[in-house]
Amino acid sequence: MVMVSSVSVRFSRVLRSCASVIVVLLLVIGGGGMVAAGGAGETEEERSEQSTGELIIYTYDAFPEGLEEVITQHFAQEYSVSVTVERFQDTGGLFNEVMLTRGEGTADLVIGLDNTYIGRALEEDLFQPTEPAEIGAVREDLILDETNRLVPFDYGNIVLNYDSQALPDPPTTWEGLLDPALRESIILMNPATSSPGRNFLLLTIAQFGEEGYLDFWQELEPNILTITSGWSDGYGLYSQGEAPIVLSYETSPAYHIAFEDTDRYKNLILGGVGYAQIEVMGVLQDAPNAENAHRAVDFILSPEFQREIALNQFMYPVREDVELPDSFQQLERPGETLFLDITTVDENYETWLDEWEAVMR
Amino acid sequence: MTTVDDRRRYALFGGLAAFFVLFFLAPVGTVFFRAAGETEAGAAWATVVDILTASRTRSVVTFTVGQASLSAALAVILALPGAYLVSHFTFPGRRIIYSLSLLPFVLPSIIVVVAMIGFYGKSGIINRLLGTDYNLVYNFRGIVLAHVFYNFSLAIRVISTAWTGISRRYRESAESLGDSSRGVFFRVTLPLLLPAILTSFILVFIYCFLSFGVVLVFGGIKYATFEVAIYREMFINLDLPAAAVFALLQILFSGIFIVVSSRFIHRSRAEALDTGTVLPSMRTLPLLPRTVMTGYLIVMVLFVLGPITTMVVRAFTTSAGTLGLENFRQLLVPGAADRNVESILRSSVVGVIGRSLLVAAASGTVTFAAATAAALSLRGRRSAAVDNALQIPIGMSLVTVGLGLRLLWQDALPPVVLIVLGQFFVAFPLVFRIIRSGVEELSDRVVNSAAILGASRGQILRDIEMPLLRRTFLNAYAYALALPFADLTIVMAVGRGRLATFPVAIYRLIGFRSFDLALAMAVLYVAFCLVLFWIIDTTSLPRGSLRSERS
Repeated sequence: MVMVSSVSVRFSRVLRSCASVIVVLLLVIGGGGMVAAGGAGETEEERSEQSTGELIIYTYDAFPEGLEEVITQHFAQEYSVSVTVERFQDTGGLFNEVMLTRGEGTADLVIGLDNTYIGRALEEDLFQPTEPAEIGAVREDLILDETNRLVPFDYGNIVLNYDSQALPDPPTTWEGLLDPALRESIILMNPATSSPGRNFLLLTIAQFGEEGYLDFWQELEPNILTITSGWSDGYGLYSQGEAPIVLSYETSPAYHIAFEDTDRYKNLILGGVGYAQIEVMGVLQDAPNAENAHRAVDFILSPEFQREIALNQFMYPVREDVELPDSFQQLERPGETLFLDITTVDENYETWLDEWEAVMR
Repeated sequence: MTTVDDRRRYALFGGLAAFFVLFFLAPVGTVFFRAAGETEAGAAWATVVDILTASRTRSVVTFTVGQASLSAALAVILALPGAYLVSHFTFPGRRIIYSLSLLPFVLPSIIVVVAMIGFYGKSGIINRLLGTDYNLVYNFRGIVLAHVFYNFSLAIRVISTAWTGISRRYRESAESLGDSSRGVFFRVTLPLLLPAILTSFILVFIYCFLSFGVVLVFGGIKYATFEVAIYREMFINLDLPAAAVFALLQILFSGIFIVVSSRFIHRSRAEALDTGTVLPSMRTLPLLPRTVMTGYLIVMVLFVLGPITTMVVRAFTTSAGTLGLENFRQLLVPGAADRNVESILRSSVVGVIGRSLLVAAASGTVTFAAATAAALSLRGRRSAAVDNALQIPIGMSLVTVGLGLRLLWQDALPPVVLIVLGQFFVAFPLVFRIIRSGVEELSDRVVNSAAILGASRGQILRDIEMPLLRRTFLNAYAYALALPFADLTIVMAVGRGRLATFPVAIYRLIGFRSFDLALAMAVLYVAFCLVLFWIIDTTSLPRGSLRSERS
C-alpha cells in the first residue's frame, strides 16, 4: 500500500507540473487571443476614421517579393500608407479565401486571379467597378470586363516547351506532335486541377473545335508520359529530364536564359498559336480602404510597375509600350493568341472536361 | 469515493478535452456547418447522396483502399526478413536501418517524389544503368513503390522491436524444453509476433490511406485518394459540400481502422521493452543463409538509400555537370546567384533553418506536454473509447483542419499560434500513443515484478521507471518534433505566407523553377533531420541494445 501511494504521489507531482504547463499554455493562447481580438477591434475603429492609412492585399504565395516591394515603397512614399500583403497557397486558395471572407471587410485588393476564376468572380459580384487612369494603354484584347471590376495586370501564352538537347528536331505542327517516335515524351497538367492544364484543353478546343478535340486527344494519349496535378510538379519533372516536352508558359525559357545562361529550353509553338493566361486584380466590394485599392490599380498599370513584371514574374506586362529585358527578346512567340469567351467557357467547361476525362481515363 | 488524485486527473483530462473541442471539433464542425449552408435549403441530404453515389466517388474509395492495402502488404512482407535480422544479429548498417524508420515522418512528399524520379524515373539511375527508358513510376506502380519506400523501415522498426522481446523471453525457454526451432517459430514466435505484424500493417495502411503529395504527382488523372479529392473539391472546384462529404468519408474509414488497430497495438507494444542482450554477429551464420541475408540487405539498402543518394548527388552537381558546391553557394551566400534567393524564399536560408527549428520546437513541446499529461491522467485506466477518440485527428484531412482553424480563430489568434495548434493535431495521435503504451507498460508489469523481487520504491523509480520512460519520452519527443518539422499543409493553410519553414522554402524554389536549388535545400533539410534524430536515437536507446555492434 505504501508503495502504491508513493507511486501516486510521484505521479501526481508530474501531473501537477504538466497541468500547470497546460494552464499556462491556455492562458498564453487565450491572452494572445484577447490581445489580438482587442487589436482587431481598434484597427476597425481606426479604419472608419482615417480610411487612407493602410492597404490590405490578398495574393497567392508565389507573388514575387520584388513586386510587393515596389508597391509597398510607392505607397509609403506617396501616401504614407502601410501595405499589408496576405498570401494564400495558390490561386485556388486565394479565391477560396475571398469567397469565405466576403462581406467581412478583411481585404481591399485581390491580385492574381486568372482565367479559371474570372467567370466565377464576376458572377459572384465580388469586385467593384474601377476606372483606371491608364487602362487605355493596356492591350485591348486582354480586357475582359467593361466596367473593369477585374483588371488584367500581366499575361502569358500557354504553349509547349521543349528541351533542345534531348529533342534536336522538334515537331512544328499539331500533327507532328502525334508522331509515334514521341511516345511517352510529353508532360501535361490536369485541366481539372491546374490553370495551364485548363488553358491547354481550351487551346485544343479552339484549335480543333468541339467536334475534333477529343479525337486529337485520343491520338495524343500514347505520347503523354504523365499528367500532373499542378504546373510546378510537371515542370519539375521536365527540368529533371524526364521528358523532352512540357506544357508551360511562353516565358519559361526566358528564366533559363536569364538565370542559368542556357537557351537549351525553347518554345514549341504549334500552328503559330498559344492560349492567353491572364492574371487580374480587383477591388473588393467591401474594401475598407477602397481609395487606396483604386490607387494601387492605377499604380500597377503604370509603366513604373509594369516594367518590373517581366523579370520578377516571368510573365508579359499588359502594356505594350514597356521595354522587355534581353532574355525575353530572344523568345519565339506565337503569332496568334487564342482566347475563348469567358462566359461560353464557364457554361461548357464541365461538359468538355467530363468528355475529356472519359477519353483519357 | 473520489480522491484528490482522481479529481486532479479529471481536471487535467477535462482541460485536454476542452482543448480538443475548442481547437479541433469546433473548427472542423464550422467547416461542415458552412458546407451544409452552401447546399440549397433542404437539399443537404440529396447532395450527400448524389456525391456518395457518383462513380468518381466509388473510384476514389476503391483506389484509396486498394493502393493502401497493397502498399502495406508489400511493406510488411519486405520488412519481415529485415526485422528478423535487426532483432537477431548485428551487422554493418543495422543502426542506419533502425534510424531510417523516422524517414516517412520527416520527408515532405515532394522530396520523396524527387528522390524516386532521380532513381526510378525515365532518365533515372536504374534506366541509365540498364540503358533503357522504362516507365516505372508514372502509374499505379509508382504510387505503390513510393509508399513502400516511405514506410518499409517503419514496419521493420515495429516488428523488430516486438521480435527482440519474444526471442529472448520465450524462444529460449521453449527451446530449453526441447522444441525444434521451426516448431518454436510456428507455435511460439509467430502467434506472439502477429499483433506486431498487424500493427505495422495497419500503421502503414493508414499512412498510405491518407497519402497526398505522392498521389498528386504520380496519380495523373486516373488516381485520387480521399485527401487529394478533398483538396480538389475545396480549392479547385470550390465545392465545399463535396469536400466535406469526402472528409467525412475519410474520417469514417480511418475511424474503423483505428478501432480495429487499437485491439492489436496495446498487445504488441507490451513486448516493446528491450533490456538489452548482446546479439551475435551475422558472421556466425552458415554460408548459405548468410549469403541470402546479405543479398537481401544490399537490395533493401539500395532500395531505401538509392533514391536519397541520387538526390544528394544531383544537389552537388553543378550546371556544368561536374561535382561541386555551386548550388549550396548560391543558396547560402547572398549575391552568389543571379536570382535573388532571399526574395524567392522571402527569408534568408539561416532564417528558414531557425524558424523551422523554432516552430518544430514550439509545436513539438506543446504536443509532447499535452500527450504526456493525457497519458498520465489516463494511467491505469483502459478505456478504448477515450483512446480511440484521441486518435481521431489522424484521419481528419489537414486542409479541413486548416480551413476550420482559419474560419473560427484567425481573427483572434496570430498565424504562428494557428500553425502550432494545427500541427498539434498532426502529431498528437502518434505521440500520445507512444507515451501511453510506455506508461501503461510500466505500471502493469515491470514495476510490479520489481516490487515482488523486493526492490524499494526509490530503486524502482531510479533504476527502472525513469530509464525506461526516458526512452519512451525521447522517442515520443522525436516524433513530436519531426511531424511539424516536415509539415507543409498547415503552414501553408494558416500561415498566410508569413512563415517560411524548410518545406515551404523547397516548395517556393520549385515554384520558381529553381529545381537545382530546391534539391540543395532538400539536402540541407535532410541533413538537419538526420542530425536531430541521430541525437535522439543515440540518447534514447538503452545501453547495450543497438550499440552492441560497436563492441
